[in-house]
Amino acid sequence: MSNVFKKALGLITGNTGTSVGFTMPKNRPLKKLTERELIQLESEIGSKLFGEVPKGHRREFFCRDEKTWIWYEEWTDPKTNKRQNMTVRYEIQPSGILKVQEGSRYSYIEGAELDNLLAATTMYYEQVARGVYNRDPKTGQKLA
Amino acid sequence: MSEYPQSSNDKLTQLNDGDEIYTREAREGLLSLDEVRRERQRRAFEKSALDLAAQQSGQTHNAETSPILTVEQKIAANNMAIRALRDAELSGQAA
Repeated sequence: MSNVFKKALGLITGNTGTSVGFTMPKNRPLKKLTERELIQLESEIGSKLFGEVPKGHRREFFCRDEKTWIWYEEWTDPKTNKRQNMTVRYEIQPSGILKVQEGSRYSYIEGAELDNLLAATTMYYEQVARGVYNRDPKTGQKLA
Repeated sequence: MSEYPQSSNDKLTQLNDGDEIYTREAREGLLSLDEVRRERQRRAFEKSALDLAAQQSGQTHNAETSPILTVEQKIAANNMAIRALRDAELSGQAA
């Protein structure tokens, strides 16, 4: 992974740890998968784009459909010992990328956040193409 | 206060799924009807770019380096490329 991507993704999450690549388990069963299951496999890759998930955290990052990205984070508050969670939805709209987060005013992202989202989605595409779909991300052709 | 009519029969409610939240914002008064109209006008122009991006995604998708797209359009191109991967997988399984 290039240093540029590492830096960009660190800016999204505040996580400056080492990002890790994703390798699809070689024993993936040869069964039919639903779209939901494919998204779950993609999200395993997506969750690791921002570096190691901290212990006790659960993270999902995935492309829901042609217009939506979901970033979900779940963790235990050390003070209250209660589970906390946060969901951010990025909606692709004609006028920009709308960031929708509970408790926050909707806003169109711009600047570094927008660039970082592009970096994250590009890495996601490249890694799921290889790791989930066994295809060359540049050509779309099946890999040998 | 929004100019957006409250009637469920209003034409804006007939827009495609991509406008769902957008129209909701209009209903909530975050966008005026004029803003909604302006954005709808932009769609025609942007659609051509996104169509081109979709074509690229099917063959030589490279949103990072595509010089003709905005950042937003490159992200949209990534989404469409991912969707194409899923569809290809699902159709391949069904075959």
